[in-house]
Amino acid sequence: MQQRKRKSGLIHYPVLMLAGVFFAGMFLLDCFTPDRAVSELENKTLTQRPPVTAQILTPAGLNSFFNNYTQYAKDQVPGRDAWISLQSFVETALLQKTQSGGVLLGAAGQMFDRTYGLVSSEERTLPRNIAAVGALAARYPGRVYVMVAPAASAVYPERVPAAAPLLEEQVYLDQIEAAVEANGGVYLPLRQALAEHKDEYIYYRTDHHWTTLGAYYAYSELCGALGLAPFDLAAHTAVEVPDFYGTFYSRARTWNAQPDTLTYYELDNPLTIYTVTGPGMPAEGETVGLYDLAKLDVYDKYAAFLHGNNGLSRIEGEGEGRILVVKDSYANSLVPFLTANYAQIDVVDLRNYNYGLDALIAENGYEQILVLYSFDSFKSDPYLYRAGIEG
Amino acid sequence: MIFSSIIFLFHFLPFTLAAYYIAPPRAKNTVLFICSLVFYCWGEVRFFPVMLALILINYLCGLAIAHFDGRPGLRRLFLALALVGSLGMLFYFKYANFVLESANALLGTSFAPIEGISVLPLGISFYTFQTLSYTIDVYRRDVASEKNIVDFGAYVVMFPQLIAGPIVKYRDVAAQLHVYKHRYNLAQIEEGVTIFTFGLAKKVLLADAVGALWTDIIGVADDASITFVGLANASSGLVWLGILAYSFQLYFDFSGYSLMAIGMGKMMGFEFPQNFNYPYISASITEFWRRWHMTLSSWFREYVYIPLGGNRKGLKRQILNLFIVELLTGIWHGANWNFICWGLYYFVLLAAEKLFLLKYLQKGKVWPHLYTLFFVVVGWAMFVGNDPGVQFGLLFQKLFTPSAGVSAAYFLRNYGVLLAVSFVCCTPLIERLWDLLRRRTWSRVLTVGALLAVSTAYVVGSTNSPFLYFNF
Repeated sequence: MQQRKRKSGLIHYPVLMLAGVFFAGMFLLDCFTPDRAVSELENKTLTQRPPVTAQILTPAGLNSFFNNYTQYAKDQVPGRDAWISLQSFVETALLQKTQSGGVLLGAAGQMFDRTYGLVSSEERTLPRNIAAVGALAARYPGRVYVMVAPAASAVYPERVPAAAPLLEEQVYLDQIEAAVEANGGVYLPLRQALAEHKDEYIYYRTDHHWTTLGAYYAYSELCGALGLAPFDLAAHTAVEVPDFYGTFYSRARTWNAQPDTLTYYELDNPLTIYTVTGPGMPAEGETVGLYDLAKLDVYDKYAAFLHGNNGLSRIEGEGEGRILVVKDSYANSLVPFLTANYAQIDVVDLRNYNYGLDALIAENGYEQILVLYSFDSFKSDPYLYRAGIEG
Repeated sequence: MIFSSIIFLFHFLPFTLAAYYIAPPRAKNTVLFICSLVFYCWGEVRFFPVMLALILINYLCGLAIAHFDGRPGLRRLFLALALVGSLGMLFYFKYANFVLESANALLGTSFAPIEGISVLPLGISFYTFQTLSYTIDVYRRDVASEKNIVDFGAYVVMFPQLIAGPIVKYRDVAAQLHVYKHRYNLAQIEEGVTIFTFGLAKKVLLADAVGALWTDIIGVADDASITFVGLANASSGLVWLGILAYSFQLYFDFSGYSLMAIGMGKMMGFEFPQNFNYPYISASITEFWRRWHMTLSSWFREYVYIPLGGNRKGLKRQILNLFIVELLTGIWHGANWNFICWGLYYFVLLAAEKLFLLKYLQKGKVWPHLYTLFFVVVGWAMFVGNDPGVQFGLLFQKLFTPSAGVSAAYFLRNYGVLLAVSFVCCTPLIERLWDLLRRRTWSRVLTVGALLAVSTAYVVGSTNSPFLYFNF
């Protein structure tokens, strides 16, 4: 370039012009495009421009201003979603990677969590949670049923990218089973039951949950163990909601992801979401339908089931007796089926219910207590221990 | 603020360059000085006084050395003062706690560690070496002392090379700092933009991406929620692949940063020295050190090795000098025993080459390259041996005794294309490709444009991985 005769005039320097337009363009777009409040795709609120206050005159205030501004610049960069998609395209199409954004891209469009092993916090939470379900089973002998939903990779090992060193969860499922059974509870293994239906659509491709059908087969296992007649699928209207892109997609953001279809059964049972203020039965609650239909029109469609993860809710069913479901979000698509078997279904999500279960159980005298978690949250949930504490 | 971040690329850099270009000729150094200070303080304000003190000490000592030209005693005094200032700061922040800890371990003493210096002032290893070179050069009368404190400050804290080099000597840029009009031209800026883009691409498309293979094995130090294989579970094959990936990462990371610095220097009218010259194609360790982090090697050669006598005082003295330089090189890279081992490891290799090996290496064709790569990669294993998630003993046990575990198969498949691209980018082939592409305007524009766009996508798309040399 030095040998070239030095010319004046920007027109002779096309690379410089391009770069200038690019950086100036990004700068101007950043200044003139309105800032977004939330990113639906990333499922988070975005940082807003930090205000300049007198605080920046102190070192600590200036530091925090710098940090907030850095965060703000990152969150509000123009075309954020498009840039992320471009990266994912280069990663998967050009570099031929079998993962994107910490999600493994398997055969048949199936996505899997990249779980190579337990992280250090899970080395502590998993044994604690195993002990908690054991303790719960010991306090209510014969009434506690435990189901742990396997990850899709355990049901579809052949779809996982070849030789991917995913965590072998069976060892830990066996430990959970042993702890539950030793304390007089019932553990219902699901892996085999689901694997028998693997030709059907039982796990979402782009989301970490099982489908409503997958939940139904798990529910059938519970019915088998309790001698109940299962919910009659044929007698109800199934509503299909297409174009569901789940949590795996929002991490992987692959250009060729196949959207999922979410199914729900039309039911008019009332659901009461309680305002939890202390242990035991709260006084106040709001009664709504089983599904939050507005969620079906937005990105996070799975949140339609049971209106998401509320601390304590009650559903009135057509059956007899009472059941308590202690759960993570996997249960949200399963619980509607229980309306066929119970008159009262109480649902506790310990992430939003900051107490032990004894008071609630004493007040309501449940015939059965179902603990239903996915293995992924069972190993990591920092609140499941509450199931084991007294009070 | 790292270069491969949105805040730098789309806020700091455009703003700073615009201010620099708009500023009247006489004010350019002031703009550069102020913007660089903001860059330095961004994220950690409390080291601001450190920088000011360093600038003042060296500025005043430089003036004093020049002023007392006829009085050797005073000249030496002010030189010593400046050296104590620069080296003292470097020692205090970087090595004091290591020395205390080592003393505690070796002598059974119980010194409490000094609080508040667990984080190093940004780039202290780089800019203290720059100020050292300035004062020594003034003392040697190789360069005139700087009269203008703003110009001197702009040199010390100049943001392109502040945090990761190249180590620019004052005399390299002194002339240009005093050219006020026509400091830069469009051709130079265009070349700077191109080099900057290559550096950015090297950092985000290669270094960060291939480095993920290594963190798949040992985990991400500052994010405990990311799962990893674990060194103990990995097979020997996977550990070798991982350490190879780490070797790629280290080179692309550091040389990418240097390229970005050189590019930004050109955009502002400064010519910084080259820092890397395809180190992995070397046919001997001696050659490797002529191609790797060249400004550091040349700094040690000029200010340590040659003053000690270099190779002019007989073989024994030369080997001793080599020992001192390699020991210092190791220590410079970090306050820990593994870096000292790493430095001494290179001393052994370099001494062996000097004594007898070099003449065989010069006759070989392929094996000298394999020999060099092998020892360099093993050297990086030593280098990384003290990182979080790595156990030094276990790492070497995995490397040198075949052990079963998670195989390399999945990782070869997942990172295969990237590893192949990385390999090509370590050789001059990539330069030949660019020579072809730059001939035509459209292919030149397209290449730079595509790299810029994809790099931006990676910067936005990935949570940025911090630059590896921050703690050195």
